Amino acid sequence: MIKNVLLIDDDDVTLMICRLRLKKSNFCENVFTALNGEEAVQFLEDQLLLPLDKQHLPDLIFLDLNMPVMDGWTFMDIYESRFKILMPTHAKIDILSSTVDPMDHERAKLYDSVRGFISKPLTEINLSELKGIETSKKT
Amino acid sequence: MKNPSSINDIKTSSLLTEQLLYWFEFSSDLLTLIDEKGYFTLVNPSFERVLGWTPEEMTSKPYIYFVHPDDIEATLHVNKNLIEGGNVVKFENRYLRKDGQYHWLKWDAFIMPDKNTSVCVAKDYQKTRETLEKLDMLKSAIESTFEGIVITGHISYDEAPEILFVNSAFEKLFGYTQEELLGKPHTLFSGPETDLTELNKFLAKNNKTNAKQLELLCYKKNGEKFWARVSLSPIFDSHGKCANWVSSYSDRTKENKQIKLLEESEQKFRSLAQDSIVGIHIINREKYVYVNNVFARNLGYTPEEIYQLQLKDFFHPDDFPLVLSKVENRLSGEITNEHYDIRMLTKSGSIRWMEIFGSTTLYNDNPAVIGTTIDITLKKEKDNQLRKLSRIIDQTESSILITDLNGRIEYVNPAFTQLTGYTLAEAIGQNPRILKTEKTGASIHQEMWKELGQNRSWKGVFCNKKKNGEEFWEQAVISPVFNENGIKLNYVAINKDITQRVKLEREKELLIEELSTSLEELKKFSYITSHNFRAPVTNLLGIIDLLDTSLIADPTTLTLIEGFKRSTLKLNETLEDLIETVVLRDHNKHIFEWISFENILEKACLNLNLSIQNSKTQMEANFEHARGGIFIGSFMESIFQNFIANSIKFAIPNQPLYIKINSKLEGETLTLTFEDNGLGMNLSKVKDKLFGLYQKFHKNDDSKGIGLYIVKSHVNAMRGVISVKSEINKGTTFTMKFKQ
Repeated sequence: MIKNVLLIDDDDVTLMICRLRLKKSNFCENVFTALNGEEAVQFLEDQLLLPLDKQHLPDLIFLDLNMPVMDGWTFMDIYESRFKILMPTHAKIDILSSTVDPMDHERAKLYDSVRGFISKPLTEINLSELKGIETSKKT
Repeated sequence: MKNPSSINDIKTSSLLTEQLLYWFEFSSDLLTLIDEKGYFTLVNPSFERVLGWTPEEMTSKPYIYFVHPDDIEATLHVNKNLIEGGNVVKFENRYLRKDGQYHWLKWDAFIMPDKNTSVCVAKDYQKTRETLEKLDMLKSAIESTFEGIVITGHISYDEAPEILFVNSAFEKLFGYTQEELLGKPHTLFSGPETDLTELNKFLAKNNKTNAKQLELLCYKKNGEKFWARVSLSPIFDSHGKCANWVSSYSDRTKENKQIKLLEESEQKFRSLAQDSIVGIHIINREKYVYVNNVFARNLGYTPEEIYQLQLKDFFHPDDFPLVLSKVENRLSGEITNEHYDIRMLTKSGSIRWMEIFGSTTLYNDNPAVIGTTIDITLKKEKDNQLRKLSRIIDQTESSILITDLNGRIEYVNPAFTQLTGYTLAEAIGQNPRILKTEKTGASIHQEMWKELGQNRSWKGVFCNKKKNGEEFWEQAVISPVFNENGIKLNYVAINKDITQRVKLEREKELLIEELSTSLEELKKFSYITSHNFRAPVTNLLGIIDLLDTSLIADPTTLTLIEGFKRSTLKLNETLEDLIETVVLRDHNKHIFEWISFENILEKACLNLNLSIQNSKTQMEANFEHARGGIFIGSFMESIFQNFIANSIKFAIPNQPLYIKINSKLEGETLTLTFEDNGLGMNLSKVKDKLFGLYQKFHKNDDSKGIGLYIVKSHVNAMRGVISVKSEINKGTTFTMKFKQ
């Protein structure tokens, strides 16, 4: 089972729904949330400073693109340059966005860490697919 | 009969009287007696024979009545002498005949001793007189001729012929006077070098030899020699014997000189004519009687061939009447030296333009037309081309300007004047600089001169100003002009006024800039709004997904939640369609690639999975004939999805839905058909609205009226066409055709 998931979205209703959905689908053990890229960076930094057994580094990140303070793109830039190598679980980012701009899809493909592009809302189907991928990765 | 010997004898003989009367009666002479009053008292019958008057008529009038008026005075004078002198007088006068003519008579008259009666004897002198008159005429003719005439004859047959007569031309020719010549031998004019053989041979024949011509070297009185052409004719006497010769002499030296000159000039003319670069011809009314080689060569004939043909064979039928009238005018004496252009025909029948100069001459003593021809076909062709070109230049809307190599204007066409306001007269000699404005950069002119300097054309745009200062834009093509030797003569500029175009382009550019800005903004706006709409809608969807209604007991709340659910789904669907429409507009970002219909159908079904399960749809897809094609994947996916969704939406309730999808490839055309057994439509009502935005044809709840619009947009974006067949309650078939 997936241990830690990090949800990054500026909309707290979205965060709430996602949390419930993950819980209902029994997708992971812990769900952490951040309201923008900066908070997410802060979260990752905080976790890395903790002793290993206390760390809750995410196995999977759901990232929204359009956010105030720091958007998803900037977060991905920072993530790729600073955190990727430090993540023992090789956490992948799944973009979870309500964007309709086809350019966003193209642009997201340029990031190594991005695995998928999920249109909101997050559904049971999305989660079972992801679960399948994660399980096969582990075995 | 014994002839009377004297008057006295007559008196004494009555026989004699009878004999005298007989003589009086039958004498061929005219015998008469005239009394002192001047009346004939007796006339013999010869009067009536010669003059026609009867003796009664003759005696009824005084004799003077019958005398010619011009002779009256002389006759009266003779009569007076006769009466006073009493001698025999001889004279001639003319007497009136009964037929009104006058007759010459030659009289012998004497008066009787009584002084009362005149005895007159007249001979018929008419013939003699006529002969003498002719002789006089001949003599004066001989005198007036330029040839030296000499008559020679034998006075005695033993001696050489001597000169009997010379005319004044002969005197002049030889320098002797008549007195010095007459009676001298005919060899007087000969000298040591004169060959007399032929002359003597001729004279020796002494018979009915015909006239002869020969040439003799003659000597003048002063010893000067000259060649004479001598014509010798024998003169025969009444017995047919040749006694005299008449010879005419003419100095051939001058003649020879003239002939020589003539020959020389003819030679000159001939060589001039033959070697001339112009064609020379002589026309004798209907034919060419002389042409030179150039003339013949110009028409592809030999001169001999030309002489065989008629005049009309050489001219264009339209021009021949003119030629004929010119020739006839000249031959009838009109003197013109004009020239005219005419079309002549060559041996092969092609047309050559000739410029003809004609004038009149004599040919074999007949009036003829002599002329020169110059082949001006090339010039004509060039003239024609030039005329056409200048017409084009005058009528074209492009303004044309020609300058010399220093840039001085030599010509401008009317369009130039119309555009710039400068007339031809104003423009000539000016430099095109008069049109220059600051708006045309110096680099443009540099570039232009660089190209022209390398003998290349230059094309570019100038901003120029008119005479009134108004600015205009023109597109110019400037080219150097060369002559046939490759020497650059001029520059020609052909300019097009593009002011309007430039203005329009500027406006268009501004408009496009404006439009693309607003379009960009609009796009951004639509993305943002759809995103902003979408975020809460997705939240609502998430909530619905998570809502567990099993715990709610209140039926009203359940109904409300159910309504909330349905509205949310519909809102989402509308939003999805709108987003798709917006995305669709940006199809530049989509790429064509090979896609498999099988895959597309799979994806579409996956997206629609729920619906298909619900409606228990039976789907039959056959892609054997065309497994796929070059398309935009997302578009094709959307098309499949929309058709299937439509079929499901508009299925006949409580009846199994059947969807058939087929593909086939014929040549380059790929056909894709979607067929269902649904509600169908009345196409005659729907018509072209079918594929419009927000067009609804069913009261069906799920209908939003956007699906077919998207389909059509996708099909068009992939350069395909779509058509539809439908029947109410039977079903609908959509057919799409794409070029592959």
